[in-house]
Amino acid sequence: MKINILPKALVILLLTVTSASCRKDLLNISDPNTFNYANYFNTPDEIRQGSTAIYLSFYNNDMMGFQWPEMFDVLANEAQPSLPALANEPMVSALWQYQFENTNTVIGQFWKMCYQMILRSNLVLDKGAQYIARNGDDNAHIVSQSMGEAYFLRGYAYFQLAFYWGKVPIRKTFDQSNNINAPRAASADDVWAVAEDDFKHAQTLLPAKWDDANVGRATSGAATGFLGKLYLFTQKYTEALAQFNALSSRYSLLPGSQWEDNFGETNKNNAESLFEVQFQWFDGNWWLAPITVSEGINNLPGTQSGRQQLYGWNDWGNWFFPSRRVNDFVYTDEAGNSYTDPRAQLTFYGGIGAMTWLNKSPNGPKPYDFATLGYWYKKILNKEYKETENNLQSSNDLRLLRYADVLLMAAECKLNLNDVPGCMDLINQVRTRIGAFTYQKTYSKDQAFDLLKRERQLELMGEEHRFDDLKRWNILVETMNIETQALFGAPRVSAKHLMFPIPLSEIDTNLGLGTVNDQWN
Amino acid sequence: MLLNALYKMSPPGGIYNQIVKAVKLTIIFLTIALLHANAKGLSQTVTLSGKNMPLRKVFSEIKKQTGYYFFFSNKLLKDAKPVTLDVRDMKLTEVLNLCLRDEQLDYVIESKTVAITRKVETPQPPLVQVPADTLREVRGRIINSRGEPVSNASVIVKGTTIATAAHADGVFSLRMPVDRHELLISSVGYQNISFRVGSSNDVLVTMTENTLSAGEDAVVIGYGVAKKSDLTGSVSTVNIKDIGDRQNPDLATLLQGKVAGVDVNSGSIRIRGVTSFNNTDPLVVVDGFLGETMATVNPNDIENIEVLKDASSTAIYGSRGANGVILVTTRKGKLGDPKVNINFNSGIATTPKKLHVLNAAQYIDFVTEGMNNAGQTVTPKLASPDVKKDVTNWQDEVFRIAHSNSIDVNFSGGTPKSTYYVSFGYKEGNDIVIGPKYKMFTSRFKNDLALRSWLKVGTNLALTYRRDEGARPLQAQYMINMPPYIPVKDTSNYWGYGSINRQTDLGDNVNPVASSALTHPSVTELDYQGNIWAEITPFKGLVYHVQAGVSGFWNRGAIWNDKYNDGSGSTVLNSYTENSNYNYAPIIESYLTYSRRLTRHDFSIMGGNTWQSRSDYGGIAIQGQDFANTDIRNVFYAATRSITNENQGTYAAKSFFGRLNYSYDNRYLLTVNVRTDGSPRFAPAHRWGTFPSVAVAWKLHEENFIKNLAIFDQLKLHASWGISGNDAIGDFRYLAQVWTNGVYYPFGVTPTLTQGATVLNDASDDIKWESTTSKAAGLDMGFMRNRLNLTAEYFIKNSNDILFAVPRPVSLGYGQGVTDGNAIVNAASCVNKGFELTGEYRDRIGKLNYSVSANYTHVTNNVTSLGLGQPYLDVVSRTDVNHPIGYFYGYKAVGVFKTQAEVDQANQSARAAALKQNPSLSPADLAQIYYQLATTKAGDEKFKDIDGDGRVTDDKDRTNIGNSIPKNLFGLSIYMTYGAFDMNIFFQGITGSQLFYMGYGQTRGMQAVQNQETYVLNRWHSEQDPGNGMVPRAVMGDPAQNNRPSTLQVESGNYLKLRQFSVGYSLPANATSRMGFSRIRLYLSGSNLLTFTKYSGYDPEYPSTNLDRGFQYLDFPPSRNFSVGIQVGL
Repeated sequence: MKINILPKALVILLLTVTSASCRKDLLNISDPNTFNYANYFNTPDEIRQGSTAIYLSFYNNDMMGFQWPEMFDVLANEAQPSLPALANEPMVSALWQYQFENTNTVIGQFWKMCYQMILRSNLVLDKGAQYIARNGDDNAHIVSQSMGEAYFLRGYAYFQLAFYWGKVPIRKTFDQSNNINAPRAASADDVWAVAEDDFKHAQTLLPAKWDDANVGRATSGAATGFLGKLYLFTQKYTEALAQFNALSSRYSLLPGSQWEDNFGETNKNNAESLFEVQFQWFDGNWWLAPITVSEGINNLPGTQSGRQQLYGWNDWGNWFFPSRRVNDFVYTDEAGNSYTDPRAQLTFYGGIGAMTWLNKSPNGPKPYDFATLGYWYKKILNKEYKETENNLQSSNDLRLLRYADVLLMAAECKLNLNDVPGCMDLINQVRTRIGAFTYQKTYSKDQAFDLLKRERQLELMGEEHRFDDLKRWNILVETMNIETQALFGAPRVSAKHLMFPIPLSEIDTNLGLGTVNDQWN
Repeated sequence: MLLNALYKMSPPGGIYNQIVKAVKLTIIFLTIALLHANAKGLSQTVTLSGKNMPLRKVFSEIKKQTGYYFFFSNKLLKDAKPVTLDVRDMKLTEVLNLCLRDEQLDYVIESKTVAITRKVETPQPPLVQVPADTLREVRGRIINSRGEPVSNASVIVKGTTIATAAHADGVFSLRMPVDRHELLISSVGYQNISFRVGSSNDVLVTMTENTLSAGEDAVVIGYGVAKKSDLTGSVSTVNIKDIGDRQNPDLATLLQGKVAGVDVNSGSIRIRGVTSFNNTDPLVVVDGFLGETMATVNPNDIENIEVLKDASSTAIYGSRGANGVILVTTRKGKLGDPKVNINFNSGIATTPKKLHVLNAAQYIDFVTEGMNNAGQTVTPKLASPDVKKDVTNWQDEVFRIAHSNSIDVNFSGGTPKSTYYVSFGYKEGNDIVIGPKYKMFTSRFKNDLALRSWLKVGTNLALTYRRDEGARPLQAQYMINMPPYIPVKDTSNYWGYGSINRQTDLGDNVNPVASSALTHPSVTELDYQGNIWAEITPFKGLVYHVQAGVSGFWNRGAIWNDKYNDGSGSTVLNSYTENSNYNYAPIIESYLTYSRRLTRHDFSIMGGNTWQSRSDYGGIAIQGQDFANTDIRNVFYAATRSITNENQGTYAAKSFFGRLNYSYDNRYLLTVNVRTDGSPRFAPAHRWGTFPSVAVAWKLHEENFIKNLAIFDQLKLHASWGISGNDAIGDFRYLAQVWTNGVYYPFGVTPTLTQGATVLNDASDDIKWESTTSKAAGLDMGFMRNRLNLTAEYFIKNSNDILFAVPRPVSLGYGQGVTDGNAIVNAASCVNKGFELTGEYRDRIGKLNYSVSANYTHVTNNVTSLGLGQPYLDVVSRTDVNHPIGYFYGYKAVGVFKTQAEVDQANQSARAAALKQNPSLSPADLAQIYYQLATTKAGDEKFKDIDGDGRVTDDKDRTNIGNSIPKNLFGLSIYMTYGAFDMNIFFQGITGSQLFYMGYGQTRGMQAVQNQETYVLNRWHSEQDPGNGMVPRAVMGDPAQNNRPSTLQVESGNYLKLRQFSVGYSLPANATSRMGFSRIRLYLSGSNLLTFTKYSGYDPEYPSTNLDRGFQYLDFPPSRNFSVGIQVGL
């Protein structure tokens, strides 16, 4: 039989080809779409991107542009749900009714927001430290400034956690591989200590002022203000006052005529503002972004505020101004005459509030139909120049700390340090600006405290401070039970409402958490 | 003319008579061939039994079954003895051999005609006589690859009718025209060959045993073919008859209930239990090529489907076969004249069920009650009589009768050296829900060439085009939730549709008709798969197989949205989104097989590799918003436009594999497999995994002590052990990926978007292969001449290091928005145990041929350990030791609190219990203690205090309230023919499964102002009218959390479905042949016809992943289909 060499040769050839092609590095594929921890955050610009992303936590998880203001407004009875809110926002409505369940998603998302800020901050601190260790120097200060922002925002997050939850897990490094199931801190003081330390680092690393392109980032003044606030909240009045005093040369109250700039879409990050969450509508923004998630949807940014849409009577109309609050603006002057605070006109529409709207619009002014509408907010809306918000097209920043608040907090320090005249001076500064009469009489410490409480309430109404104030003054239960009795026919508040429950989502996932008493906190 | 020519050239005499006879034969052959060239499409096999049948009767029966015509003279059959036969599905030639075994008769088959001839003595007279000087005498011997004689082979001189049959010792001789050189030789059990005769008149012909899939009991296995009786592992072949009329386009549905151990749920396939949290889809191999997508295989092209179930069968595919392997063989051309088959089908589809929802009056009652219970009143509009009018039945508006039409045409045929199969299919139709329609074109081209005796090559190309248009309504839920008083259309809205006003109607639902009408999506996709293979036999016993293929797709999606207002006061701008994606995946595989037989030892060794590289994929997406002029819908003309995504990817894989098959004396069988896989999905240190398997089998029926029992036609015991791996976790999950998508923050005096970057997930660089060790044992039995076949198998599969993104502490801070950012870990181990029974009985009663096949699988799933030591909870789905994967975790509802006194009583007991535990509790603290919640009132649901501490708490009173993995799966197929009629019935069902109705809160939970199912009519209204005692009160916002995960949402998921029923009628052969066709069959077919279930929703089947299996969201149900069709053969 003839021997055919061809098939044998062919097999050998093909075998060689298919085997030789199996290169050793065949499997060494790098990700063509996405950078990773190792190959990113290694340059100052990349590290600054890392610090920018921390601010995004404010948007995420339905927070600053949506449910965070609603939550603290209803807890202080500074906003009430309308029928659409009751039907569509049961979680915030539950808080209004003082039902604090550990399944409440608003509380859960607030928790998640804080820890997201902590993770994103830890990433910047970790990679920033690596950069400085590697390069020795940071000439342009971009890395150290970014680390300052990370310290500030991490401090802010731990401040929230310490104040609302007390004992919480502490995560201070990016690598948590040995602390995944983190236990709760031994005490709230440990958590406060982290925040205090972070604000101090931030004070030294952050600039007092940013260049025009970076305005809106945290400043050393913001760190000082929050450090002072932390001391006040932990009853360290001397330390607090020192911080607040350091701010007097750097911030000032806006003139009364510019009061709206503290809440509006223009003149943001002004002389009165220490720190604010930035919101901006751009054409092409993804319109629902801020009330769901801002990141990752088709790469379209969602940087606008949802609040104006939610609080406007001819927008979504979810939250109206409670009639009980109207009465707070009427009190007696030092002569014993009934006095209506000028801020009533600035804070809400209806009754003793503003009775015309669109005063700064070519279409206005229009009479406010109080009989049909009742009371709605004015100070946080844009109804003086904008008829509607046209699909969440609002650019109002959320001011987390402004100088009027600092002055009143300083006043509180002085009061607690028994400097009643000093306290009244600071209160009067705030009143003078807005054209309210000033207190000239001599007051006892208790009387001064009552006036301070009123001042904070009227100056800061709708700015999510009253719940905090009542809570830290330890008068939340007694004060809010009068109001819940009136609203619901029964007192709803008890001592346990001083703390938020640890979210069930954390209890279900964090095996090292430790005991959470009584399904509470 | 031919006749005349022959007359002229023939001398008179004996030879003349022979010539005349031969010419007659030729003419008859030719005539019959011409007349009946089309008479095809009938069976190539014969089923016949009877005692002492005259041959004539046998032949006429064979003709009926096969369409082969018999040619014989009465004289020839005069002396033939009657025969006794009992054959099933036996090849024609074998039957003929059997019939003529004891006669001096032989046969010749040519073009569908069987000529019965006298058996000739050597030297035999040639069939065609030509002048002697043009003929030469060729003598030969035919042997097989082991040197044994091949008896009774038929030998034909190619291009002539000169033929003979070899003797039992393989010897033949014939007279061959000198200008002819090729002999066509065929024999049962061997591959047909074309043998070239050289100058020598003595030839030795070696025939190769049939090992390719053509043989009936040959089974396609990974990288090879095996005789079914030689299998050591668990391989199930889907009986192609059971598939019936293939209306349903996806493989999963074709397999559902057909094969024991295979669990199909809404298109996803799990073989022998749930072994992983990840993708457990089996590997699909089409015609030997890995990684093809089933979606592009036209079911009409499928010849055969095999399911490899145990580690021994799948190990050769290593990690890719971890979830089982489905081998699909498409049709190929067969030897013979061209055949054309055409299949037209036209069908309708409907929804099998609609839900009962509240009418307008009931709706307003519910809303009023719900608002009042929440301390609110309804709006003036809802209090007015205007809304108590039933205007729209939203389900009627959304559902419609769907239509579909299809035509499939295929051409096939072949010569001994080449075969071809070409098919084209076109299908168009729409959906039972308003919006979508589709059209689809499929094609396949297959060619096999035997180029040389040592070289075979083949090509296989499939192209599919599909276009989908139109959108279903945004969510099925809106169809239930929309109030009945809202009209579908409303011209007072500029977008033309009725809508809900948040202020006056209090709802948030979107008009489902509008959401479907105002958005215009389309997807066009082109899929391609092209392969080429070659098989080289350099010397006897060694075969080298190499195949190279490429598969991929290109698609383009576009969505146009009209400008409209959704009713919440917000105008949605018009927009246009377009995306384009492609995938290109080449693969080269080669393997070398060496087989050898040494007296009683039979072995073969195979080794090979897979090489996949430069596989790449990617896509981009662009978007435009706000078009002033909508005549041209092109992103370029939008007021704002952006590139919204770009994605690139590469993939590579490398594997080495080998197999040893050994059998001793055809009684004891051994198979050893090993495959090594590398996966770039793991960190470099953990990339390689090696997966071995061993299997043994014992053919007891070959043992004399079994043979002597005369009970079993087959009795085989087999057992296997093996390990397989899984890496189906997605690419680059071992890295902490940087996240920049949409991460912008507006900084600056003039606010400007500033890019941010962070990480979304933790790195998991220590993760390694997930592996499953499986053990299986089984018994195959055949009785009653193999009319009854039974198979029983037992299996245990231990899965270890299951890869899963375990829900990790929220406080780690990963993820954004709703995404969790959980890192993948080797999270758990679980065990699946079970057994399978398969039985088939085939018989006939008179003209009735029938087969009944049934299968049953019992499987249990249990988690044995957890990688991080902690249970995982994903909303309701929990995974914990000693429970099945992903069981439902929730409360036990025990009925409503009928009166406030009951609530107070429960709270009192709770306080008493609390005081007992902690006597120092102050009265103020005690007052804050409730059995459930402070807000729980009369009419709210009462849940069980499982831990007995007097209260219902989140962490202690949730428990296992159900699990969706079915414990029992069964299928029953009946196929029968009666004369010209055929019928196919198929039932399938599961038991031991529960479902969790995730839509509960939306359609029964009475928590928001939206319409509900009539379930809520049984609700608690007042202490005097407490309803049925289980359905709680209506209260907006659900303050008492009546809708927490509980047994209220759990229902039985058991069902029995009549999946398929079809009847067909084939026109009589003479009628069809008069019309010029070989076959005409008319049929009626229906699928998803009946469902027996207690489940109250649309359908107990709902698509889901392993972890959220059984979570029934409210979704559109699968359709019920009816169709008529006609199959025509040319």
